[in-house]
Amino acid sequence: MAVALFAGAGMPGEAERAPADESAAESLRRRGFAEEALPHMEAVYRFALRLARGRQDEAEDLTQDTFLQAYRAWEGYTPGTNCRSWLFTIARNRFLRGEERRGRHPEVPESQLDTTAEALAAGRYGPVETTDPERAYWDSFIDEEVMRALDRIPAPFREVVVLSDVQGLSYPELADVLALPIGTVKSRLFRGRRLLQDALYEYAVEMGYVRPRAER
Amino acid sequence: MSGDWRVVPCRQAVSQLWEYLDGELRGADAETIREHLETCARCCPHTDFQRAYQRFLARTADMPVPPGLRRRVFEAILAEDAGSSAGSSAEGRGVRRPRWDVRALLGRIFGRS
Repeated sequence: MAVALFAGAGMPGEAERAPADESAAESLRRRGFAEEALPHMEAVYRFALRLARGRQDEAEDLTQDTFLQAYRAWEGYTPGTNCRSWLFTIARNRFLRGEERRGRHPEVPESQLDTTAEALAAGRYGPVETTDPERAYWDSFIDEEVMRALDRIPAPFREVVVLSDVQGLSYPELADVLALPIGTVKSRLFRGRRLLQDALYEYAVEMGYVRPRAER
Repeated sequence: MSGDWRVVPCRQAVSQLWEYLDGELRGADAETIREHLETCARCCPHTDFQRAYQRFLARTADMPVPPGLRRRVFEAILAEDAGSSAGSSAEGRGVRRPRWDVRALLGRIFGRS
């Protein structure tokens, strides 16, 4: 109902009640925005929540801010192109700007982010012995535990893991949103996954979900 | 036709495991790598493990969002329109406009005051 309301559709009598200064162009613009951008609100919120390390108020503010910015810039958006990626880009930029304003420093210095290509040679195997049923291992975690582990990973790795593994963005989409070359995207993604899996593994051992693996 | 998967060393196959699982494996030997990762007794469990990781993390995309969020965003945008009609524009965190403004607008659209 809310979208219909927002798009100005399905509300008989709205046209009569609309003030004279609300132009047809504005109504069209709002309709386009409602149809293309608003369906991504939940995805944007979930991304915002991870950027904000689980702080819900901050994530809601960021989501609102993102959509407001997108609405203001709607004329610059080409209908039918990748609206979701565009919204993620806005959310991320607003988040980084806010962090700067709040005086929060990057969790990892830029110089240490992509110093090695070791992650690309992901020759290391998974964190459990091969005799463990892999599905049972993952199912032992509840969502909140995963989110907490994710929130402990430095932002540059957290954002790429969330956009890829939770939101399902492709490498070119990730490169676009993060403004990075694909090679860097891949190495950050692989390293981020490793950080997350290591954190979850340590947690699983601590909680007794799995036995510690033997040293290799 | 693809080559024999056994000619690809495990180390090379595993180094491309993520590209394969991400659906981004390209190149002439892509099919051989895929076969290796899905067939080799040593690599297969790792492929399954990381595939299970991906499914598991994708599942968290369904976590609920706050019930009031949608309305809050609508209100901000309606207020933006009302604000721009009045010749002003909100900036930064000043996006939250006075409540009476939004209420009046929603009331008008809902047909109640």
